[in-house]
Amino acid sequence: MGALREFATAKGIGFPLLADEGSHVITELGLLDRDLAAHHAAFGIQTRDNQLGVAYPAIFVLDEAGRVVAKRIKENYRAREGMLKLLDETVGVALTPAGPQRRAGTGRVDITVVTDSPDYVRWQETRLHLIFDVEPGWHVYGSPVPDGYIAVAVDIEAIPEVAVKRVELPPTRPLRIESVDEDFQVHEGRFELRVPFAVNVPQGRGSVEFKIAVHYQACSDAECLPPATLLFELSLNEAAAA
Amino acid sequence: MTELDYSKIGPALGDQFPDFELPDSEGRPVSLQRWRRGRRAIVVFYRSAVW
Repeated sequence: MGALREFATAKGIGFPLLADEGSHVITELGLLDRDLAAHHAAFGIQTRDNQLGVAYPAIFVLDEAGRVVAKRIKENYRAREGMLKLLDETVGVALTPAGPQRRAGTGRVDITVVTDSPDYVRWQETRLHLIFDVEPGWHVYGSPVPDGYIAVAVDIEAIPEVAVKRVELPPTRPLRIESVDEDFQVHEGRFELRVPFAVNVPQGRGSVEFKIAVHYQACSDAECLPPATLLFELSLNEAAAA
Repeated sequence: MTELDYSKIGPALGDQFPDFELPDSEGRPVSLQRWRRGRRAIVVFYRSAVW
């Protein structure tokens, strides 16, 4: 009990931390981790006897009626999700990203790049947002794109320990341009790309830099601008251990 | 190591999450349903506050 109280105080935790001594509730819920030794072994870790009562690293999101609306179980305790990402993806609660913002544009298109948080928590899945503002009357392309045009694309350069997942794009809308007699899939107005990533570094690595290149081509009904690339740099600090 | 089907572990999507009561960090009993009071909730299983 003392350990939980110290932990709650040290981390500034305001919600209840419960102790399941003997793992009775964990076991009744079917969550006793029977694969702990194998998972540890994969990381080269020896399992101690006092660790054998832990649950799978599980997160359950419940609705107002107490029903499970989302469930996340990871293979190991290291890979958890940032709260902004979890709330957004499970219950559609979109909190404002708090990371450093970078903004650039080429006249018809403005792009703001921001992370969920200014810090990274090692191994925690979090997100990079790329918010496009395309001037009315103009559009940029999604895939598939006809020959000679380029679709929106993002390249992210960081150390190998930064695990970047596939860029998530919003749906395009079809657009027929009569003057060139072609059908396109376009993005218009304000839309957002999201890139999930995790920083899987050992403790003490310090700040981690990102170089982000965003490629696109802005066109209107009447003309196309040359393809553009905007470059962004940002850096995330290692979250302070309490 | 075989791949686990995590969807089969613990309460399933759509299930009512079972109620339980456990002591908090001050030793007070906390029941999930009474604490929730009809609000949405997130239940997180963590390893330890020590190791």
